[in-house]
Amino acid sequence: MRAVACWLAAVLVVLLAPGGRASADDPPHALVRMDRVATALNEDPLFVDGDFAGILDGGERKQIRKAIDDASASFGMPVFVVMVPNTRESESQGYNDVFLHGLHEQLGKDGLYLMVDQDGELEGVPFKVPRELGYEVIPRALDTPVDRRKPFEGLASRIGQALALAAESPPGEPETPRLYMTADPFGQEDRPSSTDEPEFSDLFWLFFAGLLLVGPLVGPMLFGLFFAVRAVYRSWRHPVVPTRPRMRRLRALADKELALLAELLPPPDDAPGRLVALRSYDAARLLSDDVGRSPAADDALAALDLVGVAVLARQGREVLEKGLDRPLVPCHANPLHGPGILKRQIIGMPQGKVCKECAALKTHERLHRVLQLPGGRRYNALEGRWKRGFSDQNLASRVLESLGVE
Amino acid sequence: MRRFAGFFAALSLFGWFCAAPAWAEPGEGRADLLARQLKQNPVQVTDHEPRAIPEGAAERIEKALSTLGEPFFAVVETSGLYDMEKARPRELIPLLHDRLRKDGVYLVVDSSGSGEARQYGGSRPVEDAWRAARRELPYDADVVRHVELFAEILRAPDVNARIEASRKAPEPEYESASEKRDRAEMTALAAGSVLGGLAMIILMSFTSGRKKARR
Repeated sequence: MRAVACWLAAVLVVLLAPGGRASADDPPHALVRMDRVATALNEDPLFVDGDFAGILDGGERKQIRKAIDDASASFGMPVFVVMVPNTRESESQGYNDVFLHGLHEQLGKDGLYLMVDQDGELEGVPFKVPRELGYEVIPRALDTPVDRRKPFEGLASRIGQALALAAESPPGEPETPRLYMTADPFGQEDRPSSTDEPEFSDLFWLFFAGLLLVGPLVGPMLFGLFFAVRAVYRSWRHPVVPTRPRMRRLRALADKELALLAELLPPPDDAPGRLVALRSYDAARLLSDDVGRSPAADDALAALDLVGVAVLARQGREVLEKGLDRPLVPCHANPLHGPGILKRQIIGMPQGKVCKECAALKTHERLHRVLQLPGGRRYNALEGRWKRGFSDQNLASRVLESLGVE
Repeated sequence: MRRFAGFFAALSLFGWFCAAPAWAEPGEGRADLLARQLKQNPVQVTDHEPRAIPEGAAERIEKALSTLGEPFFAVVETSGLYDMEKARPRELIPLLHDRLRKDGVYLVVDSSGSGEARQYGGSRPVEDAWRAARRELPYDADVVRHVELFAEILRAPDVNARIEASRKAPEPEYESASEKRDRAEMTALAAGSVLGGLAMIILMSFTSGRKKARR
């Protein structure tokens, strides 16, 4: 029984709660102007605020007063017309119907309340007026000024028409329209909705989403990106010599090595490896011309010749740059690697010297570094002038011989 | 005499037409009303915007301006009336001075602090001082703070240097409630992501390190 009583009381409080007035916590100056307007309306049903002084002339005021008297006589109830600014910073937050409900409460008189704001917009609320006024007291055609730049032009006739229409409307139940919105409490206007305040649950879920979703997705991406960038950087600093180079790359490498050697020519007369270098250059040039500009991509012999061009040109360059009298022997695993310095075993190949990197590897790993030609064969498996490999200090003479020069 | 009758009739009709606009003037206008109120109290504050104007604003404005040591007239208008004729501070101040016929500092602003200051019978840089006060205060400062800072600037020993310094200073930053919320939420998301990502990276480098060691 007590629970039912409590429920009833709660429902009654909700239903009877004042709508228009600002809430109880509002500061005392919140309702100063409402009091001022209500006091003035007790004396005169037409209130024009000082901000709008001089807008209505005597004739217009007379016209509005006559419309008020006519409508009031028709309803048998008072009619109030209020001309007052109502901005977002007012106690009603610019809602004209909220203002009229508050004014009605302050004045304590039922009747038809009409108001005009600074934009010339017309709002009307009937409080227990015995008429069938419908949802809109002011018809749409009358509630806004014709020209927004002249908000008060033709205002008196708009008010007159609105009041005349209301007076002509058919009789109905005296009701008060419900107010569907209220003004925010003072000091809390900066939040049009409750979502402006960061809520702990929101923050928690966002943190959680980051922890479980965004982080685990982005983290590995950054991780991978780091290694990719590092690999690109390393290969740019120390170009990796491929184990299975393509023909186009071999051609470019051969050209580059030839050009580097050509820059050092003719060698100075006192260079110890002068003749070696010249011979190497001749052999490389002839071999390069013999292969041609664009050999077929699967021509293994041409590929091997280009490796020879690169090795010969590099040998010539090394002799001049380092002041040697004999050329350096290239790596036995892959002649493109660089000079072979350490003796190491390579499975399935004769003994030879390999470069530092190849020497550091285990035997089975070294196997994977052996140069392969188009077709997948090891470089030393081909018949021809390279059958004996590149581990020969007289490589240039041998090549020239095989080309039929000398 | 009779031939002048038509002339006089036309003349009187012309005079009537000329006078007609004066008749249309609808009694006491806004400037007249404000001037009358300012004669009684030199600070007039609108009561239409209680949410923007704090309580006791008129007294605080009067207190701040009385430190200037000269007559002052201050109007805090309702904002959003600028569309109306003769409502702009630039236009209203001369009208008020015209009606009051008194020298002094005139201030016409709205509840957000937007407006004008002008001095009659003196050469204080009141316009620049008002602009400096506007610039120095955050976006959501109320009009009383503006007037107080305005008076403070004008009281400075070297007013022009004070205004110049204000002009060079960076504008104060303003962060709205929703911006604050967004920042808090983004921080939470970023913190979670960094933690999650770091955990993942540590896990991955740990496993890859073990793989390498096994090989």
